[in-house]
Amino acid sequence: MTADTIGRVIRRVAAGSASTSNAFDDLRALTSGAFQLWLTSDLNLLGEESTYRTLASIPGFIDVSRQGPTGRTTALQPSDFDWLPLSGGYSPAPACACLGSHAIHRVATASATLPRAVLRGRVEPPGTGADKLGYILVASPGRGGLPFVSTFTAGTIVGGGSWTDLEVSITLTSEMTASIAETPALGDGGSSGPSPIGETVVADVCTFWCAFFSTAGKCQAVGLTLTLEPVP
Amino acid sequence: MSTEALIPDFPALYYAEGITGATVRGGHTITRATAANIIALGRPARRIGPTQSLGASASYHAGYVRSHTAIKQLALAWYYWPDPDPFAALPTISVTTTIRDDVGNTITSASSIVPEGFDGTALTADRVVIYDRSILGAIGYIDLDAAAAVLTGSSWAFQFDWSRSGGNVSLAHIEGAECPRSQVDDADDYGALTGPVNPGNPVLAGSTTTTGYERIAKTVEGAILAGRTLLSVAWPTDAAIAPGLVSATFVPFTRMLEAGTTPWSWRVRPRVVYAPSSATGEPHRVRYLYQVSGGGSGTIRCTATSVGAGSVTTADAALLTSSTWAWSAWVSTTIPTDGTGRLVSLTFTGKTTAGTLSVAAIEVEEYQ
Repeated sequence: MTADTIGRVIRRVAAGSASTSNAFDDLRALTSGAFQLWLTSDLNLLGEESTYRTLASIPGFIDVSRQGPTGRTTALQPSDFDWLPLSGGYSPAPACACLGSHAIHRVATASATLPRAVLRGRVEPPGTGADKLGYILVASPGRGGLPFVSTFTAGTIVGGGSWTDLEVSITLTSEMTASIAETPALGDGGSSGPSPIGETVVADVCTFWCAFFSTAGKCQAVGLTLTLEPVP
Repeated sequence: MSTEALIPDFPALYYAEGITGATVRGGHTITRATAANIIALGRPARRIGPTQSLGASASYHAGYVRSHTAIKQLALAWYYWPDPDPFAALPTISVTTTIRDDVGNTITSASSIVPEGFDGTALTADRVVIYDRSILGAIGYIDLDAAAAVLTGSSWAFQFDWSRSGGNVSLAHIEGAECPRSQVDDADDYGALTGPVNPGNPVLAGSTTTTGYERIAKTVEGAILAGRTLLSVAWPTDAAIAPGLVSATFVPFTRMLEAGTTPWSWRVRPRVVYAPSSATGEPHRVRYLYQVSGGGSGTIRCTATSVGAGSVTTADAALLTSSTWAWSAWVSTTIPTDGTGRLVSLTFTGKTTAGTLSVAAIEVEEYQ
Protein backbone atom coordinates (compact mmCIF):
# COMPACT_ATOMS: atom_id res chain seq x y z
CA MET A 1 0.00 0.00 0.00
CA THR A 2 2.97 2.28 0.46
CA ALA A 3 2.94 4.70 -2.49
CA ASP A 4 5.61 7.06 -3.69
CA THR A 5 8.02 6.64 -0.80
CA ILE A 6 11.44 5.15 -0.54
CA GLY A 7 10.40 3.83 2.85
CA ARG A 8 12.55 5.95 5.13
CA VAL A 9 12.92 9.60 6.07
CA ILE A 10 15.96 11.36 4.67
CA ARG A 11 18.10 12.77 7.46
CA ARG A 12 18.75 16.42 6.94
CA VAL A 13 19.83 19.52 8.77
CA ALA A 14 17.27 21.24 10.95
CA ALA A 15 14.81 23.53 9.22
CA GLY A 16 16.10 27.07 9.16
CA SER A 17 19.72 26.00 9.41
CA ALA A 18 22.30 28.25 7.78
CA SER A 19 24.10 25.15 6.53
CA THR A 20 24.56 24.75 2.81
CA SER A 21 22.81 21.40 3.30
CA ASN A 22 19.55 23.22 3.97
CA ALA A 23 17.80 22.56 0.69
CA PHE A 24 14.96 24.95 1.40
CA ASP A 25 17.04 27.99 2.28
CA ASP A 26 16.41 31.12 0.21
CA LEU A 27 17.98 31.28 -3.26
CA ARG A 28 18.59 27.53 -3.56
CA ALA A 29 16.12 26.87 -6.31
CA LEU A 30 17.82 23.77 -7.65
CA THR A 31 18.22 22.02 -4.30
CA SER A 32 14.74 22.94 -3.21
CA GLY A 33 13.39 21.58 -6.46
CA ALA A 34 15.16 18.28 -5.92
CA PHE A 35 14.06 18.18 -2.35
CA GLN A 36 10.44 18.20 -3.40
CA LEU A 37 10.97 14.56 -4.25
CA TRP A 38 12.38 13.74 -0.83
CA LEU A 39 9.65 15.72 0.87
CA THR A 40 7.00 13.78 -1.03
CA SER A 41 8.62 10.51 -0.01
CA ASP A 42 8.97 11.55 3.64
CA LEU A 43 5.40 12.74 3.93
CA ASN A 44 3.99 9.63 2.27
CA LEU A 45 5.97 7.42 4.64
CA LEU A 46 5.15 9.38 7.80
CA GLY A 47 1.56 9.73 6.67
CA GLU A 48 1.11 6.01 6.29
CA GLU A 49 2.86 5.32 9.59
CA SER A 50 0.64 7.87 11.32
CA THR A 51 -2.34 5.53 11.03
CA TYR A 52 -0.72 2.79 13.07
CA ARG A 53 0.13 2.62 16.77
CA THR A 54 -0.22 0.58 19.94
CA LEU A 55 -3.55 1.42 21.55
CA ALA A 56 -3.34 -0.58 24.76
CA SER A 57 -1.03 -2.84 26.70
CA ILE A 58 -2.30 -4.58 29.83
CA PRO A 59 -0.97 -7.40 32.02
CA GLY A 60 -4.01 -9.58 31.32
CA PHE A 61 -5.37 -12.42 33.43
CA ILE A 62 -3.42 -15.05 35.35
CA ASP A 63 -6.58 -16.89 36.36
CA VAL A 64 -9.19 -17.49 33.67
CA SER A 65 -11.43 -20.09 35.28
CA ARG A 66 -14.92 -18.77 34.65
CA GLN A 67 -17.03 -20.58 32.09
CA GLY A 68 -18.91 -18.71 29.41
CA PRO A 69 -22.58 -18.02 30.20
CA THR A 70 -23.84 -19.87 27.13
CA GLY A 71 -21.36 -22.72 26.96
CA ARG A 72 -21.04 -22.14 23.23
CA THR A 73 -17.61 -22.64 21.64
CA THR A 74 -18.27 -21.86 17.97
CA ALA A 75 -19.19 -18.62 16.20
CA LEU A 76 -18.47 -16.76 19.40
CA GLN A 77 -20.35 -13.54 20.09
CA PRO A 78 -20.16 -11.07 23.01
CA SER A 79 -23.12 -12.85 24.63
CA ASP A 80 -20.93 -15.93 25.03
CA PHE A 81 -18.76 -14.07 27.55
CA ASP A 82 -19.39 -12.53 30.94
CA TRP A 83 -18.86 -8.76 30.88
CA LEU A 84 -18.86 -8.35 34.63
CA PRO A 85 -16.57 -6.53 37.05
CA LEU A 86 -13.44 -8.41 38.04
CA SER A 87 -13.77 -7.17 41.59
CA GLY A 88 -17.48 -7.59 41.91
CA GLY A 89 -17.30 -10.50 44.26
CA TYR A 90 -17.95 -13.12 41.59
CA SER A 91 -16.23 -16.48 41.86
CA PRO A 92 -14.55 -17.44 39.65
CA ALA A 93 -13.78 -13.89 38.65
CA PRO A 94 -14.73 -12.83 35.12
CA ALA A 95 -11.88 -12.08 32.70
CA CYS A 96 -12.80 -9.07 30.61
CA ALA A 97 -11.23 -5.68 30.06
CA CYS A 98 -11.96 -2.46 28.27
CA LEU A 99 -8.98 -1.64 26.10
CA GLY A 100 -9.94 2.01 25.90
CA SER A 101 -11.63 4.44 23.54
CA HIS A 102 -9.34 5.59 20.76
CA ALA A 103 -9.25 7.96 17.82
CA ILE A 104 -9.08 5.97 14.61
CA HIS A 105 -7.47 7.54 11.56
CA ARG A 106 -7.98 6.46 8.00
CA VAL A 107 -4.96 5.09 6.15
CA ALA A 108 -3.29 8.21 4.85
CA THR A 109 -2.26 6.84 1.48
CA ALA A 110 -5.53 4.99 0.87
CA SER A 111 -8.12 7.21 2.41
CA ALA A 112 -11.07 4.88 1.90
CA THR A 113 -9.33 2.30 4.09
CA LEU A 114 -9.22 1.94 7.84
CA PRO A 115 -6.54 -0.08 9.63
CA ARG A 116 -7.13 -3.36 11.36
CA ALA A 117 -7.14 -3.71 15.13
CA VAL A 118 -5.10 -6.65 16.35
CA LEU A 119 -5.23 -8.15 19.84
CA ARG A 120 -2.13 -10.17 20.70
CA GLY A 121 -0.94 -11.92 23.80
CA ARG A 122 0.20 -15.20 25.22
CA VAL A 123 -2.30 -17.77 26.44
CA GLU A 124 -2.15 -21.02 28.37
CA PRO A 125 -5.30 -22.98 27.44
CA PRO A 126 -6.68 -26.00 29.27
CA GLY A 127 -4.61 -29.14 28.89
CA THR A 128 -7.29 -31.72 29.22
CA GLY A 129 -9.29 -33.36 26.47
CA ALA A 130 -11.63 -31.13 24.54
CA ASP A 131 -11.49 -28.25 27.02
CA LYS A 132 -10.87 -24.85 25.54
CA LEU A 133 -9.97 -21.26 26.28
CA GLY A 134 -12.29 -18.87 24.45
CA TYR A 135 -11.48 -15.27 23.64
CA ILE A 136 -12.98 -12.38 21.77
CA LEU A 137 -12.08 -8.89 20.61
CA VAL A 138 -14.96 -6.45 20.28
CA ALA A 139 -15.04 -3.07 18.56
CA SER A 140 -17.86 -0.83 19.72
CA PRO A 141 -18.51 2.55 18.08
CA GLY A 142 -17.93 5.75 20.03
CA ARG A 143 -16.46 6.68 23.39
CA GLY A 144 -17.33 4.21 26.13
CA GLY A 145 -19.13 1.97 23.65
CA LEU A 146 -20.26 -1.22 25.35
CA PRO A 147 -19.31 -4.70 24.19
CA PHE A 148 -22.49 -6.67 24.33
CA VAL A 149 -24.35 -4.53 21.82
CA SER A 150 -21.66 -4.73 19.17
CA THR A 151 -21.63 -7.08 16.23
CA PHE A 152 -18.09 -6.11 15.28
CA THR A 153 -16.22 -8.99 16.83
CA ALA A 154 -13.57 -11.60 16.29
CA GLY A 155 -13.30 -14.57 18.61
CA THR A 156 -12.13 -18.13 18.70
CA ILE A 157 -11.10 -20.95 21.00
CA VAL A 158 -7.82 -22.69 21.65
CA GLY A 159 -6.87 -25.83 23.55
CA GLY A 160 -3.91 -28.11 24.02
CA GLY A 161 -2.43 -26.98 27.31
CA SER A 162 0.75 -25.40 25.97
CA TRP A 163 1.55 -21.71 26.01
CA THR A 164 0.78 -20.27 22.60
CA ASP A 165 0.36 -16.97 20.81
CA LEU A 166 -3.00 -15.25 20.83
CA GLU A 167 -3.82 -13.21 17.76
CA VAL A 168 -7.22 -12.03 16.69
CA SER A 169 -8.07 -9.04 14.54
CA ILE A 170 -10.87 -6.89 13.17
CA THR A 171 -10.48 -4.93 9.95
CA LEU A 172 -12.11 -1.66 10.90
CA THR A 173 -14.78 0.07 8.85
CA SER A 174 -16.33 3.48 9.26
CA GLU A 175 -19.45 2.01 10.86
CA MET A 176 -17.29 0.77 13.73
CA THR A 177 -16.43 4.34 14.71
CA ALA A 178 -18.54 7.26 15.85
CA SER A 179 -17.56 10.87 15.33
CA ILE A 180 -17.08 13.22 18.23
CA ALA A 181 -16.73 16.98 17.98
CA GLU A 182 -16.55 18.56 21.39
CA THR A 183 -15.22 21.71 22.96
CA PRO A 184 -13.71 20.62 26.23
CA ALA A 185 -13.45 22.28 29.60
CA LEU A 186 -9.80 22.35 30.60
CA GLY A 187 -8.87 21.09 34.02
CA ASP A 188 -10.47 22.94 36.90
CA GLY A 189 -10.87 20.45 39.58
CA GLY A 190 -9.25 23.17 41.68
CA SER A 191 -11.48 26.21 41.42
CA SER A 192 -15.06 27.31 41.08
CA GLY A 193 -16.67 29.06 38.16
CA PRO A 194 -16.57 28.30 34.47
CA SER A 195 -13.58 26.30 33.28
CA PRO A 196 -11.26 27.57 30.55
CA ILE A 197 -12.44 26.43 27.13
CA GLY A 198 -10.12 24.23 25.12
CA GLU A 199 -9.66 23.63 21.44
CA THR A 200 -12.39 21.65 19.74
CA VAL A 201 -11.55 17.97 19.50
CA VAL A 202 -12.74 16.22 16.36
CA ALA A 203 -12.16 12.50 15.97
CA ASP A 204 -13.67 9.21 14.91
CA VAL A 205 -13.66 7.02 18.01
CA CYS A 206 -13.95 3.32 18.67
CA THR A 207 -13.91 1.47 21.99
CA PHE A 208 -12.31 -1.96 22.24
CA TRP A 209 -12.98 -4.79 24.67
CA CYS A 210 -11.61 -8.27 25.19
CA ALA A 211 -12.88 -11.19 27.23
CA PHE A 212 -11.98 -14.78 27.97
CA PHE A 213 -13.61 -17.95 29.28
CA SER A 214 -12.44 -21.43 30.14
CA THR A 215 -14.59 -24.46 29.56
CA ALA A 216 -12.76 -26.20 32.40
CA GLY A 217 -9.78 -25.52 34.64
CA LYS A 218 -7.53 -22.55 35.10
CA CYS A 219 -6.11 -20.79 32.03
CA GLN A 220 -4.01 -17.67 31.56
CA ALA A 221 -4.13 -14.85 29.01
CA VAL A 222 -1.30 -12.38 29.56
CA GLY A 223 0.85 -9.72 27.94
CA LEU A 224 -2.08 -8.33 25.97
CA THR A 225 -1.54 -5.61 23.39
CA LEU A 226 -3.96 -3.96 21.01
CA THR A 227 -2.46 -2.35 17.93
CA LEU A 228 -3.57 -0.67 14.75
CA GLU A 229 -1.78 -2.22 11.80
CA PRO A 230 -1.98 -2.34 8.01
CA VAL A 231 -4.55 -4.67 6.52
CA PRO A 232 -2.52 -7.52 5.00
CA MET B 1 -0.74 35.01 15.40
CA SER B 2 -2.82 33.45 12.66
CA THR B 3 -4.84 30.29 12.80
CA GLU B 4 -6.78 28.16 10.40
CA ALA B 5 -8.68 24.92 10.66
CA LEU B 6 -6.61 21.79 10.22
CA ILE B 7 -7.60 20.05 6.99
CA PRO B 8 -8.04 16.42 8.08
CA ASP B 9 -7.78 14.67 4.71
CA PHE B 10 -4.32 13.49 3.74
CA PRO B 11 -3.81 14.52 0.11
CA ALA B 12 -2.38 12.26 -2.55
CA LEU B 13 1.28 13.22 -2.99
CA TYR B 14 3.15 12.32 -6.17
CA TYR B 15 6.73 12.84 -7.22
CA ALA B 16 5.62 13.99 -10.67
CA GLU B 17 4.03 17.09 -9.22
CA GLY B 18 7.52 18.56 -9.25
CA ILE B 19 7.75 19.42 -12.90
CA THR B 20 10.88 20.72 -14.60
CA GLY B 21 10.28 24.26 -15.66
CA ALA B 22 7.53 24.62 -13.09
CA THR B 23 9.22 22.96 -10.21
CA VAL B 24 7.01 24.17 -7.44
CA ARG B 25 3.48 25.38 -7.68
CA GLY B 26 1.18 26.84 -5.12
CA GLY B 27 -1.22 23.94 -5.02
CA HIS B 28 1.72 21.59 -4.74
CA THR B 29 2.96 23.47 -1.69
CA ILE B 30 -0.47 23.42 -0.08
CA THR B 31 -0.68 19.64 -0.28
CA ARG B 32 2.72 19.29 1.41
CA ALA B 33 1.70 21.65 4.18
CA THR B 34 -1.60 19.84 4.66
CA ALA B 35 0.10 16.45 4.88
CA ALA B 36 2.72 17.70 7.32
CA ASN B 37 0.02 19.24 9.53
CA ILE B 38 -1.95 16.00 9.70
CA ILE B 39 1.08 13.98 10.76
CA ALA B 40 2.52 16.51 13.20
CA LEU B 41 -0.72 17.78 14.74
CA GLY B 42 -3.67 15.61 13.75
CA ARG B 43 -2.52 12.15 14.79
CA PRO B 44 -0.62 12.23 18.08
CA ALA B 45 0.07 8.78 19.52
CA ARG B 46 1.25 9.25 23.10
CA ARG B 47 -1.07 7.69 25.65
CA ILE B 48 -1.59 6.66 29.26
CA GLY B 49 -2.81 3.13 29.95
CA PRO B 50 -5.54 2.03 29.77
CA THR B 51 -5.14 0.39 33.13
CA GLN B 52 -6.92 -2.74 34.25
CA SER B 53 -9.65 -3.01 36.86
CA LEU B 54 -9.15 -2.33 40.56
CA GLY B 55 -11.32 -3.39 43.45
CA ALA B 56 -10.15 -2.13 46.81
CA SER B 57 -8.58 1.30 47.12
CA ALA B 58 -5.15 1.33 45.45
CA SER B 59 -2.93 3.40 43.18
CA TYR B 60 -1.84 3.22 39.57
CA HIS B 61 1.13 5.14 38.16
CA ALA B 62 1.68 5.86 34.48
CA GLY B 63 4.40 7.77 32.70
CA TYR B 64 3.81 10.34 30.00
CA VAL B 65 6.01 12.44 27.72
CA ARG B 66 4.40 15.08 25.53
CA SER B 67 4.94 14.51 21.80
CA HIS B 68 5.95 18.13 21.29
CA THR B 69 4.86 21.61 22.27
CA ALA B 70 2.25 21.96 19.52
CA ILE B 71 0.16 19.16 21.04
CA LYS B 72 -1.98 21.11 23.48
CA GLN B 73 -4.48 18.85 25.23
CA LEU B 74 -4.43 15.51 27.01
CA ALA B 75 -7.76 13.74 27.51
CA LEU B 76 -8.27 11.57 30.60
CA ALA B 77 -11.19 9.35 31.52
CA TRP B 78 -12.05 6.78 34.14
CA TYR B 79 -14.88 4.29 34.31
CA TYR B 80 -16.29 2.18 37.13
CA TRP B 81 -18.41 -0.89 37.62
CA PRO B 82 -21.37 -0.43 40.00
CA ASP B 83 -21.64 -2.72 42.99
CA PRO B 84 -23.37 -5.88 41.71
CA ASP B 85 -25.32 -6.04 44.96
CA PRO B 86 -28.41 -3.88 44.35
CA PHE B 87 -29.14 -3.82 48.08
CA ALA B 88 -25.70 -2.53 49.11
CA ALA B 89 -25.44 0.96 50.52
CA LEU B 90 -24.50 3.45 47.82
CA PRO B 91 -20.73 3.81 48.05
CA THR B 92 -18.67 6.89 47.32
CA ILE B 93 -15.77 6.67 44.91
CA SER B 94 -12.99 9.00 43.80
CA VAL B 95 -9.86 9.27 41.71
CA THR B 96 -7.17 11.61 43.03
CA THR B 97 -4.52 12.63 40.53
CA THR B 98 -1.00 13.87 41.17
CA ILE B 99 1.34 14.72 38.29
CA ARG B 100 5.10 14.91 38.78
CA ASP B 101 8.04 15.59 36.52
CA ASP B 102 11.56 14.21 36.59
CA VAL B 103 13.09 17.27 38.23
CA GLY B 104 10.94 17.40 41.36
CA ASN B 105 7.95 19.55 40.35
CA THR B 106 4.44 18.49 41.29
CA ILE B 107 0.88 19.35 40.30
CA THR B 108 -1.46 18.25 43.06
CA SER B 109 -5.09 17.28 42.71
CA ALA B 110 -6.07 20.68 44.12
CA SER B 111 -4.60 22.45 41.09
CA SER B 112 -6.96 23.92 38.53
CA ILE B 113 -4.88 22.12 35.89
CA VAL B 114 -6.24 18.76 37.07
CA PRO B 115 -9.65 18.00 35.55
CA GLU B 116 -12.74 17.91 37.65
CA GLY B 117 -13.48 14.31 38.52
CA PHE B 118 -9.77 13.57 38.86
CA ASP B 119 -9.32 15.89 41.85
CA GLY B 120 -10.34 13.48 44.58
CA THR B 121 -13.91 14.74 44.89
CA ALA B 122 -16.07 11.89 46.17
CA LEU B 123 -18.85 10.84 43.82
CA THR B 124 -21.77 8.66 44.77
CA ALA B 125 -21.62 5.55 42.62
CA ASP B 126 -24.73 4.60 40.71
CA ARG B 127 -26.68 1.56 41.81
CA VAL B 128 -26.43 -1.37 39.46
CA VAL B 129 -29.34 -1.57 37.05
CA ILE B 130 -27.67 -3.63 34.36
CA TYR B 131 -24.94 -5.97 35.50
CA ASP B 132 -22.62 -5.91 32.53
CA ARG B 133 -22.29 -2.15 32.12
CA SER B 134 -19.39 0.03 33.22
CA ILE B 135 -20.13 3.70 33.80
CA LEU B 136 -18.13 6.82 32.99
CA GLY B 137 -16.80 8.25 36.26
CA ALA B 138 -15.25 11.35 34.75
CA ILE B 139 -13.71 12.69 31.59
CA GLY B 140 -11.46 15.71 31.57
CA TYR B 141 -8.83 17.56 29.63
CA ILE B 142 -5.45 18.87 30.71
CA ASP B 143 -4.05 22.05 29.19
CA LEU B 144 -0.53 20.84 28.42
CA ASP B 145 0.91 24.35 28.15
CA ALA B 146 -0.42 25.17 31.63
CA ALA B 147 0.94 21.90 32.98
CA ALA B 148 4.32 22.47 31.32
CA ALA B 149 4.58 25.85 33.01
CA VAL B 150 4.73 23.95 36.32
CA LEU B 151 6.31 20.69 35.22
CA THR B 152 9.48 22.01 33.62
CA GLY B 153 11.03 18.56 33.30
CA SER B 154 10.21 16.72 30.08
CA SER B 155 9.21 13.35 31.58
CA TRP B 156 6.00 13.33 33.56
CA ALA B 157 4.32 10.69 35.68
CA PHE B 158 0.67 10.46 36.69
CA GLN B 159 -0.38 8.93 39.99
CA PHE B 160 -4.04 7.92 40.17
CA ASP B 161 -5.31 7.04 43.65
CA TRP B 162 -8.57 5.09 43.41
CA SER B 163 -10.70 5.05 46.53
CA ARG B 164 -14.05 3.48 47.40
CA SER B 165 -15.96 3.69 50.65
CA GLY B 166 -16.86 0.01 50.62
CA GLY B 167 -18.81 -2.70 48.87
CA ASN B 168 -17.83 -4.18 45.55
CA VAL B 169 -17.89 -1.11 43.34
CA SER B 170 -14.71 -1.24 41.29
CA LEU B 171 -12.60 0.89 39.02
CA ALA B 172 -13.03 -0.39 35.47
CA HIS B 173 -10.12 1.42 33.87
CA ILE B 174 -8.30 4.73 33.48
CA GLU B 175 -7.24 5.94 30.04
CA GLY B 176 -5.47 8.95 28.64
CA ALA B 177 -4.42 10.11 25.19
CA GLU B 178 -3.17 13.21 23.48
CA CYS B 179 -5.89 15.01 21.53
CA PRO B 180 -5.60 15.60 17.80
CA ARG B 181 -5.41 19.30 16.96
CA SER B 182 -8.21 20.88 14.97
CA GLN B 183 -6.33 24.15 14.48
CA VAL B 184 -3.07 25.18 12.85
CA ASP B 185 -1.48 28.15 14.57
CA ASP B 186 1.64 29.89 13.35
CA ALA B 187 2.43 30.86 16.94
CA ASP B 188 3.09 27.18 17.68
CA ASP B 189 6.40 25.48 17.09
CA TYR B 190 4.92 23.27 14.38
CA GLY B 191 2.12 23.65 11.84
CA ALA B 192 2.14 25.26 8.40
CA LEU B 193 -0.66 27.63 7.42
CA THR B 194 -1.90 26.73 3.98
CA GLY B 195 -3.56 30.07 3.23
CA PRO B 196 -0.34 32.01 2.58
CA VAL B 197 0.87 29.34 0.16
CA ASN B 198 -2.16 29.50 -2.10
CA PRO B 199 -1.55 29.43 -5.84
CA GLY B 200 -1.77 33.18 -6.20
CA ASN B 201 1.13 33.86 -3.90
CA PRO B 202 4.84 33.45 -4.53
CA VAL B 203 6.48 30.28 -3.31
CA LEU B 204 9.00 31.17 -0.68
CA ALA B 205 11.56 29.54 1.54
CA GLY B 206 10.11 31.65 4.33
CA SER B 207 11.29 30.79 7.83
CA THR B 208 10.68 28.18 10.48
CA THR B 209 8.42 30.60 12.37
CA THR B 210 6.43 32.11 9.51
CA THR B 211 5.42 30.45 6.26
CA GLY B 212 6.98 28.77 3.27
CA TYR B 213 9.07 25.67 2.89
CA GLU B 214 11.21 26.22 5.97
CA ARG B 215 8.03 26.13 8.04
CA ILE B 216 6.85 22.96 6.28
CA ALA B 217 10.24 21.35 6.94
CA LYS B 218 9.96 22.41 10.57
CA THR B 219 6.50 20.83 10.74
CA VAL B 220 7.93 17.59 9.35
CA GLU B 221 10.32 17.66 12.30
CA GLY B 222 7.24 17.80 14.54
CA ALA B 223 5.83 14.81 12.65
CA ILE B 224 8.99 12.86 13.44
CA LEU B 225 8.71 13.82 17.11
CA ALA B 226 5.12 12.52 17.25
CA GLY B 227 6.38 9.11 18.34
CA ARG B 228 4.55 6.05 19.60
CA THR B 229 3.99 4.82 23.13
CA LEU B 230 4.70 1.14 22.62
CA LEU B 231 3.97 0.04 26.18
CA SER B 232 2.19 1.80 29.03
CA VAL B 233 1.61 -1.02 31.50
CA ALA B 234 0.65 -0.57 35.14
CA TRP B 235 0.01 -2.74 38.15
CA PRO B 236 -1.27 -1.48 41.51
CA THR B 237 1.61 -0.21 43.68
CA ASP B 238 1.30 -3.17 45.98
CA ALA B 239 4.23 -5.57 46.26
CA ALA B 240 1.76 -8.41 46.78
CA ILE B 241 0.23 -7.76 43.36
CA ALA B 242 3.00 -6.21 41.28
CA PRO B 243 5.60 -8.50 39.66
CA GLY B 244 8.70 -9.15 41.77
CA LEU B 245 11.86 -11.23 42.04
CA VAL B 246 14.60 -12.12 44.54
CA SER B 247 17.34 -13.48 42.28
CA ALA B 248 20.96 -12.29 42.03
CA THR B 249 21.03 -13.32 38.36
CA PHE B 250 18.65 -12.32 35.58
CA VAL B 251 15.32 -14.15 35.88
CA PRO B 252 11.71 -13.36 34.93
CA PHE B 253 9.52 -11.58 37.46
CA THR B 254 6.92 -13.62 39.28
CA ARG B 255 3.48 -12.68 37.97
CA MET B 256 5.25 -11.95 34.66
CA LEU B 257 6.33 -15.53 34.10
CA GLU B 258 4.86 -18.09 31.71
CA ALA B 259 6.61 -21.18 33.00
CA GLY B 260 10.17 -22.21 33.87
CA THR B 261 12.39 -19.33 32.81
CA THR B 262 10.14 -17.93 30.06
CA PRO B 263 8.96 -14.38 30.75
CA TRP B 264 5.76 -12.89 29.41
CA SER B 265 6.16 -11.13 26.12
CA TRP B 266 4.33 -8.16 24.69
CA ARG B 267 4.03 -7.91 20.91
CA VAL B 268 4.35 -4.39 19.53
CA ARG B 269 4.96 -2.81 16.14
CA PRO B 270 7.45 0.09 16.06
CA ARG B 271 7.14 2.97 13.63
CA VAL B 272 9.70 3.22 10.84
CA VAL B 273 11.28 6.62 10.42
CA TYR B 274 14.92 6.15 9.47
CA ALA B 275 15.58 2.41 9.66
CA PRO B 276 13.29 0.08 7.67
CA SER B 277 13.87 -3.69 7.98
CA SER B 278 16.80 -3.10 10.28
CA ALA B 279 18.20 -5.46 12.93
CA THR B 280 19.22 -2.39 14.90
CA GLY B 281 16.01 -0.55 14.26
CA GLU B 282 14.60 2.70 15.59
CA PRO B 283 15.61 4.56 18.76
CA HIS B 284 13.39 4.02 21.78
CA ARG B 285 13.72 4.29 25.53
CA VAL B 286 12.29 2.51 28.56
CA ARG B 287 11.70 3.31 32.23
CA TYR B 288 10.10 1.55 35.17
CA LEU B 289 8.25 2.31 38.37
CA TYR B 290 10.06 0.06 40.84
CA GLN B 291 11.08 -0.51 44.43
CA VAL B 292 13.74 -2.66 46.08
CA SER B 293 13.37 -3.96 49.61
CA GLY B 294 16.18 -5.15 51.86
CA GLY B 295 18.78 -2.62 50.78
CA GLY B 296 19.34 -4.26 47.43
CA SER B 297 20.48 -2.75 44.16
CA GLY B 298 18.37 -3.94 41.26
CA THR B 299 18.66 -4.13 37.48
CA ILE B 300 15.81 -4.54 35.01
CA ARG B 301 16.54 -5.73 31.49
CA CYS B 302 14.33 -5.05 28.49
CA THR B 303 14.88 -7.45 25.61
CA ALA B 304 13.43 -6.70 22.19
CA THR B 305 13.34 -9.60 19.73
CA SER B 306 12.00 -9.21 16.22
CA VAL B 307 9.44 -11.88 15.39
CA GLY B 308 10.71 -14.23 12.71
CA ALA B 309 14.04 -12.53 12.05
CA GLY B 310 15.15 -12.96 15.66
CA SER B 311 17.20 -9.78 15.91
CA VAL B 312 17.77 -8.94 19.57
CA THR B 313 18.54 -5.74 21.43
CA THR B 314 18.75 -5.31 25.19
CA ALA B 315 18.79 -2.40 27.61
CA ASP B 316 19.56 -2.55 31.33
CA ALA B 317 18.25 -0.12 33.91
CA ALA B 318 20.86 -0.60 36.63
CA LEU B 319 21.55 0.71 40.13
CA LEU B 320 17.89 0.72 41.13
CA THR B 321 18.06 1.32 44.87
CA SER B 322 14.87 3.12 45.94
CA SER B 323 13.09 1.38 48.81
CA THR B 324 9.86 3.18 47.91
CA TRP B 325 8.08 3.26 44.56
CA ALA B 326 10.12 5.45 42.23
CA TRP B 327 10.63 5.90 38.50
CA SER B 328 13.95 4.79 37.11
CA ALA B 329 15.91 7.00 34.76
CA TRP B 330 15.26 6.43 31.07
CA VAL B 331 17.41 3.82 29.39
CA SER B 332 17.97 4.27 25.68
CA THR B 333 17.65 1.31 23.37
CA THR B 334 16.79 0.48 19.81
CA ILE B 335 14.00 -1.77 18.67
CA PRO B 336 14.44 -3.91 15.54
CA THR B 337 12.21 -3.27 12.53
CA ASP B 338 13.05 -6.44 10.61
CA GLY B 339 10.38 -8.67 12.13
CA THR B 340 7.58 -10.44 10.29
CA GLY B 341 4.87 -7.81 9.99
CA ARG B 342 7.49 -5.62 11.71
CA LEU B 343 6.43 -7.21 15.00
CA VAL B 344 8.70 -7.20 18.03
CA SER B 345 8.42 -9.20 21.24
CA LEU B 346 9.32 -7.26 24.41
CA THR B 347 10.27 -9.19 27.55
CA PHE B 348 11.49 -8.08 30.96
CA THR B 349 13.81 -9.79 33.43
CA GLY B 350 15.69 -8.54 36.47
CA LYS B 351 18.02 -9.19 39.36
CA THR B 352 18.83 -7.68 42.73
CA THR B 353 21.78 -7.88 45.10
CA ALA B 354 19.43 -8.25 48.07
CA GLY B 355 15.76 -8.14 49.00
CA THR B 356 12.89 -8.08 46.48
CA LEU B 357 12.85 -6.05 43.29
CA SER B 358 9.30 -5.13 42.27
CA VAL B 359 7.99 -3.31 39.22
CA ALA B 360 4.59 -1.57 39.07
CA ALA B 361 4.77 0.24 35.73
CA ILE B 362 6.63 -0.06 32.44
CA GLU B 363 6.81 2.68 29.84
CA VAL B 364 8.40 2.09 26.43
CA GLU B 365 8.32 4.91 23.93
CA GLU B 366 9.81 5.91 20.61
CA TYR B 367 12.57 8.47 21.12
CA GLN B 368 13.64 10.10 17.86
